[in-house]
This record gives sequence, structure tokens and C-alpha cells, in this order.
Amino acid sequence: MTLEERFFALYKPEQGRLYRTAWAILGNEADAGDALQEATIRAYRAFDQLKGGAAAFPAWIRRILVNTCTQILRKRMKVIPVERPEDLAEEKVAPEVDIPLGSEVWEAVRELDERYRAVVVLRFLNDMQLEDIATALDIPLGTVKSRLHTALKALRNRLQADHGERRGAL
Amino acid sequence: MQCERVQLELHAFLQGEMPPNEQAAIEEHLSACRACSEEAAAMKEFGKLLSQGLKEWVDQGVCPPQLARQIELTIRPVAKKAWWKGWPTYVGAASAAAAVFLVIMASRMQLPQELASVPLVGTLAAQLVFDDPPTPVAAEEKEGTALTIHKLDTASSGTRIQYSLKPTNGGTERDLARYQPQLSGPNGPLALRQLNQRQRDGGVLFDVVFDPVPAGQPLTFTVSKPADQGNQVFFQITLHK
Repeated sequence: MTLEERFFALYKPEQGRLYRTAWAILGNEADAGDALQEATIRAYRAFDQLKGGAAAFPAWIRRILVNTCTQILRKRMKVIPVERPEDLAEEKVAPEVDIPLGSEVWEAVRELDERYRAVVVLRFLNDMQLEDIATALDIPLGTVKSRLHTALKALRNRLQADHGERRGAL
Repeated sequence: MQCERVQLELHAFLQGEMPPNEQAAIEEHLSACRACSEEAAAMKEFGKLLSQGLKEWVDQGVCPPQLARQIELTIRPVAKKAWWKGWPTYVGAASAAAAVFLVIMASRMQLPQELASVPLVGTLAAQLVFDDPPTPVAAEEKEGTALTIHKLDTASSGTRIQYSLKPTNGGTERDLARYQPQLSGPNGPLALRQLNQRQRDGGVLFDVVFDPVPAGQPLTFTVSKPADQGNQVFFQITLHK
């Protein structure tokens, strides 16, 4: 098997998951595509240095992807200096692609303002420690905690309201 | 410890990410404060729900086919030796259709979001990878002459295209050096700033620089026969992002 064949054999099964992970972190599909492409190229170039073989590949490439995404976020997020709770929920925008959104959790998370969505996704999807999130996004630990606190409150209201509505409709 | 402070730290506490003395302080508060301990339990449950929901959503993910193809093309190198010599087999293997997929990846252009579908005059093109050594962008064989684009670079200093014309399969060299290049953007033809050519490998290698074009604009590159041979368009390709 050539190097590319070996790489793609491991990479293809992960690609869908990686795409949605990038989408979740960056908030839109266009950026997700860019990030995935860049991360894939980085991974391919570093592929011969990977230790642990096939079993280690998924976590390894996921790390590269998350780093690529947070790098993009770091640049983007520097533009917004002020922290205001009313910035929490963006206006609802139509989905960019006409496909089903998947779980209702994602629907609620994607509506969050980017600064809140990023910490929620890195914490609950990528299981990152709070200190690591602070480093990755280049923000103070206290900011991570307060954003998480605010975001979780909003998400709980939103998701529990959805459930309440459904129960009421029965 | 105040309830407000505790609530803010609850998440870190539940993850075990607090320094030991603060951890102990929170535990102490929770044992005495029902509101906060209920909140802690609710938050723990909710955290699990969030985590599960997001991971489930990610697991269902499928990469859009165009993106997948694009990524593949930027990683798999073109079979450099084989495609030139084995030209007929390459043609057969790739596609019988006139439309081909062309990927542009230039250091100064943004990464393209989707593949450009490019109808060519005649047969087809190979894919492009801006890499070391550079791989041919597009190739076309017609009337015993092959045109290959080697490089395409858009920068603020100009748009540079390197291509070659070469007679093949017993075709004769018919004043290939006099074939005229032209580049058009959305607002019309771009001025040719520089044209260098030299004989190479039995053909002619052209190095041309046109006016710069803003990134993201479609370009039409045309090569025409000399005026005394009819001035017809020999090759034309439109490149999109």
C-alpha cells in the first residue's frame, strides 16, 4: 500500500465526523470545509510520524483538526472586545444547506453567539479541560467559566422549553 | 462561599478541575445549601445530555462529496510520468465526458469551496496541485499539438501563467511560438505585461504575465492560432474559484 492509500484508508471513515466537528466549532459549513482541508493536509504531512498505528489515528487527527479550528477562532474572536450577555443568542438564520439538522441539541447550540458556542462545543463535544480551552482561545480562564455558565443557562432554558412544549402538545 | 460564586464554579467543580482547597470549599457549601446542590445535580445531568447530543450529531456526519473529492485531489499527486506518456489510457480512464473537474489551490487565493466544472474544447485536463515539483494544471491535445498549463498564480503584482505547446503523435510544429495568449476577467481582457518564450523538449515554453485580477474572479485563458493561420481559438479554459 502506498502512503496515500494507507492514509486514506484510515482517514475516510473519520471524515464525516471531522467535518461536523469543524462545523460545530466554527459555526458554519464553509469554514468547516476550509478547516478540514487544511487539517487533512497537515495530518497527511505528519502521517509518517504517527505512533500507535491505526488505533491512534482517529484521536490524533481529531486533535489536529481541533487545533486548526481554534487557530481560526483565535484570529476571528479577537475582533469582538466587549462581553455582553445580550449578545448571547444570534438572530436565527436559515440553514446554509438544505439537510436535516440532526439532534435538537445541535440546533440549540448552533444558535448561540460564536463566543459561547465555541466554549460549549470544545467542552462538551471535544471534552477539553477548561484551562486548555482558555489557552486554545487565548482568553482568561474566568471568561471561559462565565461564558459556559451563561451558555448552559440559556441552553437549558431552550431545551427544556422545547420539551415542555412537546409534553403540553400530547 | 456565596451561592453566586459557587454556581459559577460548579461546572469546573463537577469536572474535578478545581484546585484542592477550592474543591473542598465548594463541597462544604453544597452539603449545607440545598439550592446549590440541586443545581449541581441538574447541571451534571444536563452536561451529559449536551455531550451525548453533540457527539451523536457528529457521529451522523457525512462529508459533502465535492469537498471530499477536493481534499483527495489536493493530496493524491498526479501520476506525473504516466499521464504524459500514457496519454490515451489516461484519457480513457479519467472520463469520457467533456466536462472535467479542476481544482485551484494557490497560495494567494482562498481555498476554493467547491470544485469548478470546466468544459474544455476537445479532450480533458488533469488536476492541479501547487506543490513541489509543480504538477501540470490542464492539458489539451488537438490537431497534433498539446497544450499544458504548468503554473497559474494570481498575485497583486500580476497574473502569471506558464504553459507549453508541443507537437505530438507525429504532428508538425506549426509556428507554435506565434500562438497568442489572452486572459480575460469579468471586465474584459487583461493587458499582457510580459511574454517570455523558449524552445524546450521539442516544443515552446511560455511564461506570461497579465494584469492582476482580484481573487475570486473567474478567468478565461485563451490561446489562439497566429493570424495567418486563421486566428482561431486553439484552447480555452475558464477557471473559477
